[in-house]
Amino acid sequence: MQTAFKALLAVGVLVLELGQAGCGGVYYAAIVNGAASKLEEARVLGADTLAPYEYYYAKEHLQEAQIEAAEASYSDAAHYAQTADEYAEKAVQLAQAAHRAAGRP
Amino acid sequence: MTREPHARSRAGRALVVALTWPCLSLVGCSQAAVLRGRIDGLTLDVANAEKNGAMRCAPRELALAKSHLRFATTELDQGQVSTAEAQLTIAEPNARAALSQSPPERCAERKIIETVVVEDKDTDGDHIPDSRDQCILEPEDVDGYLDEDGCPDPDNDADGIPDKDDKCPTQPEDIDGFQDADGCPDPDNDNDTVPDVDDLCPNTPGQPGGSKPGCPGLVVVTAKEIRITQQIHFEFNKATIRSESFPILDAVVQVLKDNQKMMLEIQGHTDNVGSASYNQKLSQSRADSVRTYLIGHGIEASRLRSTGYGLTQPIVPNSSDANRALNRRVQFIRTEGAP
Repeated sequence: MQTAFKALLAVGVLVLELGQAGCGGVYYAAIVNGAASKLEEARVLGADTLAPYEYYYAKEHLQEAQIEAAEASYSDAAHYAQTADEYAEKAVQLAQAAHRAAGRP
Repeated sequence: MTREPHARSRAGRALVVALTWPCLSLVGCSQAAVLRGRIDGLTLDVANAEKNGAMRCAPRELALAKSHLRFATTELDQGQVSTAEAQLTIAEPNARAALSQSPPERCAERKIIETVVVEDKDTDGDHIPDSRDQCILEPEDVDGYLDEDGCPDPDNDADGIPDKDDKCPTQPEDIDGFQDADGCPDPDNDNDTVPDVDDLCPNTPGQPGGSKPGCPGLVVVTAKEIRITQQIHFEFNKATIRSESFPILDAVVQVLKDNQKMMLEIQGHTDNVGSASYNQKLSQSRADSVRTYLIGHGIEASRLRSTGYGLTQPIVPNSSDANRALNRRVQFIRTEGAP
């Protein structure tokens, strides 16, 4: 039992270490593309005027995420990309709601 | 001996490092503290801006300020003083802008007053909403007459002639038996300048004034002749003018005096009783007699010509006494315009 516990602990520590050591880049990459797509969708829907706060908040965070990623600071990059994704999604929803209210498809 | 200078050099460098390191640390710490203070101040500004309604009035500035404040804080927490400062240079103007562009009296959240908009229908489709339409089931006939009330006015002038048949839809017809179907009033039917209301003969041109205003006098001047309203009477089978016809001839004299360029042919006509030659001679002598009368009353002889036509020009068939009386006549035909 003790051996098994030690083995599990070792694996956990290894995962954490890998995460710390640079596998955050994978996580960032997974998020940033989605965030960028949503932000583009928001732009096309006119979110810069229909949901400006959410749109610009997402845009700034996406840009900062890309800057951080370029400096290999993937942890911050992933956090910012996560925020960008969240606010881009809000911007899309608000813009779509505004279009619906105006009777547009 | 030779190691002494090196030993002094190492000691000196150690001293420099020992003195510089704390100083640099102090400078770095103080700079971080300053940035921390700026971040706190800007965070307060952003919070106030948000409270004042910057989300509505300055959403872009608010988003940039909050984003870069967050980035600055993160960078500062990681000891990246210069990067944090760079972030603040973006956050600061945006925070100030968000605050200044969001005066609470204009941007702060207000209670929403729900207004119920009642749809104003237009039942009759005349583009006048029912709220202003006095006839909501009858569309207005837009014809320039009382078009605002929403009610049609099929006979604007209320003269009994529908507008579609009325040549003068806003002027009522005067129903007086003269051209009453066209819908236009005829205030002077005979155009003799005497208004119908004063004209005792409204359908016959006449003279103004006198005992019978608007009625023809003894003579009527037309473009063709001086028309006499009573026939000139002669003694039976003679050319002697009877005295009751003098006023008529005097009226002719007056017309000729009033119109110096007027010239006349005085025509004598008879009925068909008797021979043609007799009637020719009688008509000529009667025309001559009239001419003589006019000359005797001051008309130049050169303006007058007398011609007897006998029985040759009856105006009606000589089939009755009445018709024959009409054919026995004297006419005053104008000749000044003749070639």
